[in-house]
Amino acid sequence: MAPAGRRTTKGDVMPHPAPFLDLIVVVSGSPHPVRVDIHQTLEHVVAEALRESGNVGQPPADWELRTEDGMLLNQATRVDAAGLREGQTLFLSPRAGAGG
Amino acid sequence: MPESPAEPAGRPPGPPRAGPASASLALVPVEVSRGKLAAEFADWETNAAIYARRGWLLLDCGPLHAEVAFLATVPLVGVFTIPVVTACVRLDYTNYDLWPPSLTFIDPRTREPASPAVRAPATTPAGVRDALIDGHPDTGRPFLCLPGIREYHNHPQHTGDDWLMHRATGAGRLAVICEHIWQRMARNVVGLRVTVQALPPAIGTQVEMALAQGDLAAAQPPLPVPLGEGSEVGGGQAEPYAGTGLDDAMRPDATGI
Repeated sequence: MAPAGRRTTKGDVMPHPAPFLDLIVVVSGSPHPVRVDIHQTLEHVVAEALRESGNVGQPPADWELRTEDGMLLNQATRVDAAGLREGQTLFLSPRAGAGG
Repeated sequence: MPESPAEPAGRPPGPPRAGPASASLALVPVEVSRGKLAAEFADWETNAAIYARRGWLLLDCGPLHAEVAFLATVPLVGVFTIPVVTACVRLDYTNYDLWPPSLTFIDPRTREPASPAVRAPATTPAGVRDALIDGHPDTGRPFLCLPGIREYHNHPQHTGDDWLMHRATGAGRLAVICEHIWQRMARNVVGLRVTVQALPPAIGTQVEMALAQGDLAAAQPPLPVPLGEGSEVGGGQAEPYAGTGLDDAMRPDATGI
């Protein structure tokens, strides 16, 4: 079967990347697989991970999404622009507030 | 099950004030709390490789407690780095999760209560805030003043922020508390600060060494984001928490080396 994709002017089939990305989101310590559309924002990833983990109804803004090395991800960023790769593990934790 | 001592009249609901008396209270069947903490350890195992790379060391895991040390990589002269334990905690999950876990900073060698080597600053919209408070009114020990930690919720200034409002988010879970500690007390350790003071001969030269902490978000390369969208990471240099009083609060002997 020919790979999915569009034809170039020379007639070759140019495969396009899958529109979905499979991630592992560790929600408060528990890992959950999440499949997301790469055209959606990371806020959608957070909402999906919260739903998968049973944290239904909680606003994504109350949570922090971070990479393995602890970098905070902006939830307004689109998935395809966030530099994520297939199977990557992200960490989702409730915001701690200012503290003190 | 031991009987609960009589509650003092007028005591507000929620986790008790810290102290020896609170340790004898049994409000949740021990098997329940043990089961919940065992689930935390099972999750820890799943992510153990990542936690190890982050420098999270699970020193001990008992039926109702966990002891975790946090390693930071501290650059020395040139390209050399050394791992330093910047914080080590004992988390007590007695009566979890009717109560949040109790956090005590400990010495990783003796496991006795001890002050950590660093502060716990974080940049917030309101400026830099240090979550490490030096004396809890009940214990006199330093504590981490963050939701999800018993010492926060039983502090007189936080009686309006009840633990039960945070419990559903997992604020007291082992990985969540470790994430907060790592972000504030290990990941933001950016180097070693050495101060030399040349003073009159009668006093001599004084050398102070301390771990330097800074805002790592300023040092991260910016993520590619669509035009018009902001990013929570910047592209500049790591910015020390200078001018906040945190540098002064660091103990000169708190190098861990």
